[in-house]
Amino acid sequence: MLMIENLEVKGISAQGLCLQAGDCVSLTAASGMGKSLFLKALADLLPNQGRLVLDGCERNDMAAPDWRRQITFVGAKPAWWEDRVVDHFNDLDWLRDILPLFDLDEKLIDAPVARLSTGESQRLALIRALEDVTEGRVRYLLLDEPTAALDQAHQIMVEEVLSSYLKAGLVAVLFVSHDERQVDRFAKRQWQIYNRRVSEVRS
Amino acid sequence: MIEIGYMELALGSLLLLVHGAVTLIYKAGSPFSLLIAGVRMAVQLSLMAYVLRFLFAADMPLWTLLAVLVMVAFAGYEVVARQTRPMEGWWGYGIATGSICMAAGIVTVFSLFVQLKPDPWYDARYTIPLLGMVLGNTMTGISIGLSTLANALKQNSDAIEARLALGHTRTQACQAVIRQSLHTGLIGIVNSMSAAGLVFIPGMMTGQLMAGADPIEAAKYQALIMFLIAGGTAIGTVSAVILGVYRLTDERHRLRLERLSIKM
Repeated sequence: MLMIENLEVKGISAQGLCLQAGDCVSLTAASGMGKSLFLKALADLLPNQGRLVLDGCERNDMAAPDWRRQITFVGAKPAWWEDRVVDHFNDLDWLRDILPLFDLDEKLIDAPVARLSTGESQRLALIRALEDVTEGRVRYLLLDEPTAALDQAHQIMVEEVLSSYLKAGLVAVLFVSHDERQVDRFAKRQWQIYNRRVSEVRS
Repeated sequence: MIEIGYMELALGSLLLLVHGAVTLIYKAGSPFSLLIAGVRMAVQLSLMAYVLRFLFAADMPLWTLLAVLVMVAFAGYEVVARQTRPMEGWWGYGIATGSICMAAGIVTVFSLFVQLKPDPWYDARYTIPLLGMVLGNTMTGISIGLSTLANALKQNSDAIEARLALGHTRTQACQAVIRQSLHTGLIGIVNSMSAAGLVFIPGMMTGQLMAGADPIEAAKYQALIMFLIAGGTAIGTVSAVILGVYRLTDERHRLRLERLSIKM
């Protein structure tokens, strides 16, 4: 379980929130209210203050790379550092199996990243964050508008893959979305940023 | 040796005026940049000449040390002055001067004690020109290395953050940028070593030849100096780039580009 006892980043604060395996939580707020900032702060990618506890272990007692292998942020703009898609993955068999679930062609594996469409790039970035998800080590996915570049059919496809991971208790998802229908459809709980505070929306 | 008069010197500078005129006519940037640099160079060299004349005559190690310190300080200042995005505060100077000191120090002391062995070892006639040559090249390498680092980090910040987000360490995430910065920082010295003797005769050898030295002796001297310069540049650039990466990231493996200032 990930406990946000308190967190403060550039004037935005959160207190007493938690995420656990199988949770699917949406984060909504008007543009420019700091949704991405908050996700990045959770992943410790930005200077921030506060106390976060992961399965009884405090964040500051963990090396940052270890923390981020469990609390993994996927940005709204997918970015690549090698020339070809294949060089960003370790387990190619797994990749070959998972691509069809996202309606992606196997040929993409050898494609140069410069040739990817926005939608392909976005789905592959999400797949990259799912690699080596294993039993016993929950991955907390912090997804910044993960399906912004996709049509509704493909949005639902992505949600279904994530749902199967959620049901298996392998991941927890906190996602930013501007699409109310997606929030209604996919999120089990809702967080919002209002008056620079992150809080749970009671239904 | 043929002596040059001041008139001949002034005539030589006419070429810079031609460049200034062409730039002015075609509005291709500032017509004064080359001129200003030229005037600066002439003034600095003549000052240096008087200082050297004094140092050679005085034969006082403390004065030599003072000259060394001034040269190192200026080298550190020049590195930062040439950056489009220097590091904020004193860090830019600190990293540049520290790396320069280490690289030039190691190389100069090594050559004074192992290869050249002047007597006394701190003889200004050897220390100052040697240090000057090593400093000049090391400074250029560091300056280019740090500029490349800052620009490449900024340009690739999305990819670096994506790697950090996946749990890569800061050295893994910055690997490509480090490689690029070192390569660019060292390309000048690699090129000049590759072309030396084929395309051009390096400055020091030219000087010795014109002063009447035997070509073989001049070539030996030049090769030694090239080794020292390359060693100094490599040590300095590697150190500055690594320190730069550590300064522009933090112990929580975060990218900290706000530690770069934007110079107008």
